[in-house]
Amino acid sequence: MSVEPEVPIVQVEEVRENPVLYKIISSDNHVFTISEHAVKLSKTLWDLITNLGLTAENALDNPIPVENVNGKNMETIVQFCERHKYDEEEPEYTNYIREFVLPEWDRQLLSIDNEELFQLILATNYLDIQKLMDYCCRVIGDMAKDKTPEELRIIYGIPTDAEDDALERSASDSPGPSG
Amino acid sequence: MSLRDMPAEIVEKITDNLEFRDRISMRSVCRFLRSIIDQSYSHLKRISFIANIEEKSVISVDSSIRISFEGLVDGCHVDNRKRSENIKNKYYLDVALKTLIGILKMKIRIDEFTVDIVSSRYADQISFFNKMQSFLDSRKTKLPVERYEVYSKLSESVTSILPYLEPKTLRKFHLSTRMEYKEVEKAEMRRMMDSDQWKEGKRFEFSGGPQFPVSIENLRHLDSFRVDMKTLTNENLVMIRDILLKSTNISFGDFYMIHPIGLSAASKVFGSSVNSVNSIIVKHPDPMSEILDEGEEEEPHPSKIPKIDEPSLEIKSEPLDAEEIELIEATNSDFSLGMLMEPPVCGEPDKCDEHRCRLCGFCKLDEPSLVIKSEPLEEIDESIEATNSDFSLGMLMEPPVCEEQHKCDEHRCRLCGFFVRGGDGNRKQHARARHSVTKHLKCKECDYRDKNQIPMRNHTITQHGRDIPPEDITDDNVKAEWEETMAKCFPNKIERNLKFVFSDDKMRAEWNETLAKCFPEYADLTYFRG
Repeated sequence: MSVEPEVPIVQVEEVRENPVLYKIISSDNHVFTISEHAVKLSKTLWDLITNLGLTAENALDNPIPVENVNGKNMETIVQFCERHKYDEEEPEYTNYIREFVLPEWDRQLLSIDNEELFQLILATNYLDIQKLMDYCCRVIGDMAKDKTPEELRIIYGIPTDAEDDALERSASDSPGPSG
Repeated sequence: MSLRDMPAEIVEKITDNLEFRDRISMRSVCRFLRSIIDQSYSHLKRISFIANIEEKSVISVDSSIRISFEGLVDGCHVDNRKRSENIKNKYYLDVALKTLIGILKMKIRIDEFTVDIVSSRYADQISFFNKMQSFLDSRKTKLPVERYEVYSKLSESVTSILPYLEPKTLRKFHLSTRMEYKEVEKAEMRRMMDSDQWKEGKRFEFSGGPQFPVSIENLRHLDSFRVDMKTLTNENLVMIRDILLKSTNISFGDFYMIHPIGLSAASKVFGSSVNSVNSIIVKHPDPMSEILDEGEEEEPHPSKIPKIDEPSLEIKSEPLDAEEIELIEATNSDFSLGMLMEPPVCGEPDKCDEHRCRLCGFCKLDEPSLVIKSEPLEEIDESIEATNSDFSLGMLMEPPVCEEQHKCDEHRCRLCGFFVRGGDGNRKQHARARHSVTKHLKCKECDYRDKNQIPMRNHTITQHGRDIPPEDITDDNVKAEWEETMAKCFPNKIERNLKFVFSDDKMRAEWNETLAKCFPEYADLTYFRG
């Protein structure tokens, strides 16, 4: 059961298990099919499904609209969920440091530019997928390894406090839209 | 979109997984990140402060940070992995300490905290521990450390840091010391054993030292312990064996011996008395094959177990010998088990509870009134002064003659740990010469200033070609600075000069109260009458 097929492509392997499939519509109207096990990884979606009372019979007729996630991110998320749907439950962390190795497959999946990664994190946060969240945070954290604050500022696109203050001041000096 | 636009809980999640070094970098990126990082604990696996070469110290954190500090003639050289710089006019230890305190100021949990300053200068050690203590004292919360490891010659290594560690997190305590066990040190060790930190601990390791610092009874709550001493007396061996026999908690004790004769003696002592739960490792340094694990020895017959009670002096000082152990066994076999803990007549006044001051752990066999007089506590010190003196009002509190000036706290400079002998003038001079920054002598020809006559003279001769007596520009500001420095170096002195004592009923009541606290048994006797 826990042994996974080599192929990361999702839809092909579903056939042999007679899965329950759900449809998700992203904000830009792309439609995705996702299996029951995979959708369970997302707490938000799974709550929605149980609350709506979707069953195996009517699932495909009632697509779930997800307004906050666009097609590109949803594709990554669906890929991820299908990949990890049979993963065993991870033991609770007792230590305050979470130590895990980022699998190669996931590293490649997440090797996208910062802008997209941050978008993906927001989407993941909304859909409440614990594992993908951990992995994304790890990828972002890895960028900070052995960097000076100046380098970090460039990597993460953060202005210095002085610039920040200047920006704020100019914003407050110029008359706002309300008055 | 950047990291700044993320919700705070996500950023917190990202930063939580970072190593300490990266967290520090992150922290200095901007206010937003700083506030997030300061919210949660950083977790350090290991932080160590090592100063075992003269004029050099190293701070390392996990495997990511390593900063070394090296003393130069006119300052200090700081070397980080990425950059190095020279800081002028700063003592290397001050810079190192400032860095260490900077790290400890952050919200952190530490698995292992190591302090190794055993071979640095005496004054450096004192100043290190003093500064650490005043820093830890100013912290609102106690420092969460799981294992505290210290290598030093001073009892301050125990007293100035251990009480400020969180008792609930502290599990292991490693003490490596060659301190002398005089009364003060003994009292301090006893006080340590009364502390929560000691009682909550699970493992104690000890190495070095001429004498085992802890009494048997106080080891019983531990899970395991380790002793590594060059010379172990019979008394110590039997003592350690007794702990193993009595304790139900101790699952194992490592026991390292370096002395070759000690090996056979130890195995003799232990061989007959190790029960199956406790395993003792007796290790011989040269041939590694001689490591004996005696954990599987069969349980001895209880009647065979020798006990020592009131260890006699001859045995203590004798070298280890198998025959002698039998001798102890024979002479002491009559004593029952319980006697070791509660001797009917107080044969060991320095261990007896009745003679122990509850406040400081100091022990004395004499009459209680004498005990009070020889108390090292400051408050009581003052009270003696008052009772002994004929003046009841307005007396300057100054002890007539201090006998052990090289150890007396009053003669010790708080900033550098140097013991200044002699009178007040010497102390003032020390404060002015070593710690004052004001330069009150000015060259008449140029702007050069110094606080010392000799460099002043050198300056005039080399720069201006002749010896010009310098101009003294001491004013009220300079004097105030001196006073301030003096207060920092010898705080007691200053306080005492300002204090007047009124020996009245209220005061006597307070003395009686203090006595009752120290020796509850004698509380009904009133020693200080009007």
